[in-house]
Amino acid sequence: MVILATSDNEQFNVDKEVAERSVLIKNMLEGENPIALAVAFVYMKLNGSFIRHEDVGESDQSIPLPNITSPVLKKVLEYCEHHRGEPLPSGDTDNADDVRKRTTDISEWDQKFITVDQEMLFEIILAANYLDIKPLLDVGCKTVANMIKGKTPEEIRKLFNIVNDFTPEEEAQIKKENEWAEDR
Amino acid sequence: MSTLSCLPTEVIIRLLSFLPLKDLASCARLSKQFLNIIRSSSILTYALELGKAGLEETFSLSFDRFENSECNPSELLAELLRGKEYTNIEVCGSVFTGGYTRFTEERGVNTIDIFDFRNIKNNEPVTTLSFDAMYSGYAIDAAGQDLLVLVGKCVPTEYVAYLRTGPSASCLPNVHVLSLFCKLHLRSLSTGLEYKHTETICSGIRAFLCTMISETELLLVGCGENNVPLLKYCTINDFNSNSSTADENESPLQYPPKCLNEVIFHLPFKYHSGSDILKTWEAELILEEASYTPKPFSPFLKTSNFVYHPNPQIIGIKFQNNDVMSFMGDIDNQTHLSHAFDMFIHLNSLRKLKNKFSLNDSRTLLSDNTFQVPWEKWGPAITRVLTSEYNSGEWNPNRCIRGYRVLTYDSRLWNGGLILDFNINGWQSSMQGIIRDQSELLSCDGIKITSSLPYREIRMPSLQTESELQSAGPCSILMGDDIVYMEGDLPNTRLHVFRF
Repeated sequence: MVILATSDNEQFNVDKEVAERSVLIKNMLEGENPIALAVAFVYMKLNGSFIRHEDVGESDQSIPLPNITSPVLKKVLEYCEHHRGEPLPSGDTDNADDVRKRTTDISEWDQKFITVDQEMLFEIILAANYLDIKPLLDVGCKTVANMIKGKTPEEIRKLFNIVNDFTPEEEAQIKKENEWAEDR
Repeated sequence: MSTLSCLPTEVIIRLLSFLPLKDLASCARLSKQFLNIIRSSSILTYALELGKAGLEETFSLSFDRFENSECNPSELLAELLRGKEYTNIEVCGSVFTGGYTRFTEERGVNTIDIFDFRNIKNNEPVTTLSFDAMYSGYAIDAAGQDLLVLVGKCVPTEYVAYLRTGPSASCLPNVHVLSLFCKLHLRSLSTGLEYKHTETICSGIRAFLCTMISETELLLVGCGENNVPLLKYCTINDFNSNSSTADENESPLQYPPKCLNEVIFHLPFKYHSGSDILKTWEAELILEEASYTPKPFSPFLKTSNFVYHPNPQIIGIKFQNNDVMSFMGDIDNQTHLSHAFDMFIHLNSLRKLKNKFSLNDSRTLLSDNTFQVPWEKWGPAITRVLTSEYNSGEWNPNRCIRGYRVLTYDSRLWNGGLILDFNINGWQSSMQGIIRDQSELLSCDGIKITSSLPYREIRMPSLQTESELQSAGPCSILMGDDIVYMEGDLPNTRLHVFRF
């Protein structure tokens, strides 16, 4: 078992296999990422939340996740639990990040899973990014992409509370530059 | 409250990369933050530029099957390659090709298997093409679009085929084959179709280098009649849109696409060779160094960890004579002797020239749509050739193309480097600007910059003698626009960083 501690000091006992859906946690457990371990260690020290488990389990470390609240972690773990046992994406695919994707299809379970309010959606995306769970990150990104699709800039701004900080001249210019897209 | 704007830039880029062009364009209009994020990503910017130019994206780099993590890409490829003896392998976007360059009983003289990662069934290729002649190799356009160019260079006829495999997977099983430059006899083993096209479409050039510089532009280097060195530039219109009426069982060649505005540019040297020029001369693209960003996943990582610039400003070509160890040429009124040299060409100017010459009435008309341009009329303004420093023995300088700048550096043979600065209009002859004075150098011991040459030259005077040269060893590297240079043995090593 692995113990994960959230920012609101809640602890989650998680199967190692489930927790290792997160590449960050996987690397920490394998000691591949000494910096992450060191940071976590320092954080635990500072926070006074250093936990030592005497019982010999698969792992005796408690991993603090200072960026993640318990409701979000609960949700993320639900995803990890469902997808446990599936092969992890190869490390090589990390390099393909800066690439245009074509599909925004989301599997039925994931679709249902990600049907949450906007705040939770972005929290999940942030957590997936922090924990390095690429498939979950993509589910989140695809969901937001689907929300954007087919909307006008004004509608998108309204949807996500984005402030239009262009001057009228800039806006006219940028509109002109992207005119080609209007009748596509 | 978490919202879209709170996400880290790299996550927003990832998110935007899922959007169709139209919606991406909308996002560029949201706010300064989003505009800047899109502009900071070369892939997204490139996508929008394509859109602006009225082109469709082909989403070539999307390995859906990989991304959905159904399997490990290297395993998939190992599976594909099992039991096959390809001599030539290329991967581009979702298309993977394996070629045989030798005779096999069941396959004929030369075959190329084409796989589509999006559609792999029983590890069988979707299409197999067979040529009735040798081909020297094939290239996939550097922009990563699903296009293939095949070059053959066997006597007596050269073959260049242009294949479009396209983003719409449906067209892949019926690979469109297009003969642009010469006779072609090609058959598809999987469909049994024979593509025959014996009409010579104004060849004008026997090419030993053929490359796509964008989705619709083709560049060929080779020789014409009397072994005159030539560079041919042409644009290709999208034949796909016209071929929708084509019967599936008919060769798409019955709807020959138009090759628009071919222009032949003369090159400023002579091929000195007693034997067959196509065998003794080689040209290769200086692409490995035309880097701008870490390379996306490729199962066949080459020596470079960088991806080709999707929209290069400068293209570099290395010419090499494998047979005769000397080359004579007249470049910029100076005679050079070399067996290898680099030529850097300003692409936008080449495009403009093509338009100018193909519209101008005083052109030399070769055929319906081909024009010849003498070197004096185009070369000096938009190209640079590096020769004289490279005439001794083996030679492998570092070369780096960044935007409008070319940086070359070789520590062992030639103790220095060159900077060629082009600008938006072509060759920047004013010599002003980027190296302002020696204060720009982070660390240097009396480095000398010569500006009397048509390019700037860097020499490191600390290494003058033979023994010093040897002791220097391979200890200098190009890192982006910097030359990092190590002097002396450990532990007394000093690092010099020359920044430009």
